Amino acid sequence: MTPVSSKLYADDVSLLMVLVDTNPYFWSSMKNTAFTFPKFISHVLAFLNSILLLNQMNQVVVIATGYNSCDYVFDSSTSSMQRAECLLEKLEDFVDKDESLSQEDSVDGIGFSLLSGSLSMALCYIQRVFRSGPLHPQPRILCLHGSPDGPGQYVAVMNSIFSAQRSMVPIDSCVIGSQHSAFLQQASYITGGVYLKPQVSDGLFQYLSTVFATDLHSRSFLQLPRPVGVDFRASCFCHKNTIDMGFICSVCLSIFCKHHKKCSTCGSNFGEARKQDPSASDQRTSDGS
Amino acid sequence: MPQVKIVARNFMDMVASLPVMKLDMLYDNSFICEAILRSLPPLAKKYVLQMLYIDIPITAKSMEEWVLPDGFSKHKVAIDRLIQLRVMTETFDSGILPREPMPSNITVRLPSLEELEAYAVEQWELMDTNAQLWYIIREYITNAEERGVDSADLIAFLLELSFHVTGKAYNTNTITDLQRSIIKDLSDLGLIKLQQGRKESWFIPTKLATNLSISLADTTSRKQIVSFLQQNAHPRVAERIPSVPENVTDQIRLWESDLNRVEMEPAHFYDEFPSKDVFEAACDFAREYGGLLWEDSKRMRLVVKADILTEMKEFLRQIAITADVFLNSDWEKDLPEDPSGRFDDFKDFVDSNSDICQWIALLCVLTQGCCILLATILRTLGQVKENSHEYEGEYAEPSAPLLRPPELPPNPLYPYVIGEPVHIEPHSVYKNV
Repeated sequence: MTPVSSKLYADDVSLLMVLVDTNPYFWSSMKNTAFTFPKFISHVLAFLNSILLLNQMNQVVVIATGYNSCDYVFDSSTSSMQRAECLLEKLEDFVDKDESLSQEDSVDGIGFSLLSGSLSMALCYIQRVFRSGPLHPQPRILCLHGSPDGPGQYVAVMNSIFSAQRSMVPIDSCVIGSQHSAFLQQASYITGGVYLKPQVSDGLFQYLSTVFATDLHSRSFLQLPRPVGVDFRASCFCHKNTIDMGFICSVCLSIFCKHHKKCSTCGSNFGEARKQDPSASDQRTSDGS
Repeated sequence: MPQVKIVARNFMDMVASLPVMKLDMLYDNSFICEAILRSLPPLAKKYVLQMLYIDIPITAKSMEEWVLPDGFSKHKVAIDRLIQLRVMTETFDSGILPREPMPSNITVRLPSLEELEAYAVEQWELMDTNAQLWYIIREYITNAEERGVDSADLIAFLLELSFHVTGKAYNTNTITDLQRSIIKDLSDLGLIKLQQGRKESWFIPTKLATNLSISLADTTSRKQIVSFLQQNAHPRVAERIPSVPENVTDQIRLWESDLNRVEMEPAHFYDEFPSKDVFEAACDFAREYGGLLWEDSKRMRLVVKADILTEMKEFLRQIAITADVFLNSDWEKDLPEDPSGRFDDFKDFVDSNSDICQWIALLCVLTQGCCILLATILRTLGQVKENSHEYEGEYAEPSAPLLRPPELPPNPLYPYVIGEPVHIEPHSVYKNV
């Protein structure tokens, strides 16, 4: 006998994709602070369990964002995983595997975690749900991110953001590191999600339950943090630097920090066109292109 | 005016109306805590979660700052529900510390499937039989396809069964093989009783089976309609959030609450009254007996409760004879034959003493006229005496009407309002319990 879930649908149902930053270099840099990885995970577990508690149709999927790889570590729709604590084992395996991969090359500084990879995985999962079930699962993505933005992932991250925007999936971002993340600011801004950098990371659960537990239905009635300032600057495709001014290809809109003879993305030839009509194919872009 | 009754439409409405002691006892059970949490309106759930670790009272005003202007009514509903269910209590003294947070134990563990099932059974025991039965039957129907039974056949047979006479034995030879297998299941549920004879077997429908149509009747709840629309939406429409526009769901909600507002009552309809006087007399009579449901004085139509049917019949017969006597010149023909001849004797007596009879009638009319005159004089005198207390030059307060229309509560269209509405003082303080 199935439980008495007489309703097949509820307003406040949600499919929550949580991207957890497990970058070992970032977390080792946090060792001196009060907010360590085990503490972070305990806050996240309480949050995930409360999401599952709120509605029997709520679904939570956790994707670990590592330094070299990313993987699903928890899916509440599988019958063996009823409680969020089940993710611990898989998470440990994942972190070990991720660390073993990175021993090959040395890393200076904190390094970047593979945000673009986990974002794409989350979107793929959502697409699969969209295409398999008759119900609209009301999906959203929550990025719990601490590592700095990896400039090399700029194009991939932006593509994921636009894909999320098209499928109307909001990307919420909770930045637990010391700096703001321009990628996530843009992601939340473009997809209509919430961007928040908690002032007191010790109270992460309170931030999560107050802001990020809000289902999409309730968001139209509640006061949520609004974007204060978004760093809209783009990165160039050639050196992955964040630039204020640059060149864009008039054919494919690729961005470059220097003048090139040929577009590396679409192969358009700028040099010859420039000789005939200097203003036609090359344009200067200003801030906020 | 018929009474408007608010019925508990679901389990949680019933829980909310429980006495305080019983409600607090329910919260000892973590499954019930969980079920109640899940039954809350979305905003209320959210509030419970974010106030979980806040152990000081929160002012109502600061809670209002959580919502956008658009969501204020939903906020109000959520807060009312939380207070009703005693998840939050209202205090007016901000110095008092709240009790231990209610849902703290429910984040600890989720129940296993077996426990859930036990809980579900327990929940059914709390509901009335028809609702319980409906839950079971609905599950039975939805699972029918898996067992290779056409759900349409099943529903048809169940409906058919509800038309059988309770307690009467029917021969199982008259039904198909499929129906015979269904009957076995139904006998387990207590819908029918199987009786094995020597050669043939019989089935006897119980009251549950014949009541089935009643529980089938409340299938059209708002949630089901809306979920049907959501599930069968065009893919492009389904992409929108919400896929069913809010004004549509609101209208369905209003329609549903309107359905629940209407109470069925057997009644009788009268029309074609011979005159206005007869109609008004009938109205007065029905009103006196508390059975008047509706009147249309323009077209002289009237609806009365079925309870007072016999009294009404008697009265109308009398009034019809009186009217007949006055209006019809050949009224004597309408009267039944009098075998004793006494009526003719009486008539002859009145005819022979017509002078005296006329005098008696006149005297009656005069006495009544005098009484009316006297009453008017007395009333006027009384009013003069009252008015003499008033100061001159000031307006006398208009005297209150004799019959003040009762102050009716506003229509209970709002689905979450049960019983007395809870008034929230603007400076009141909430705390979570």
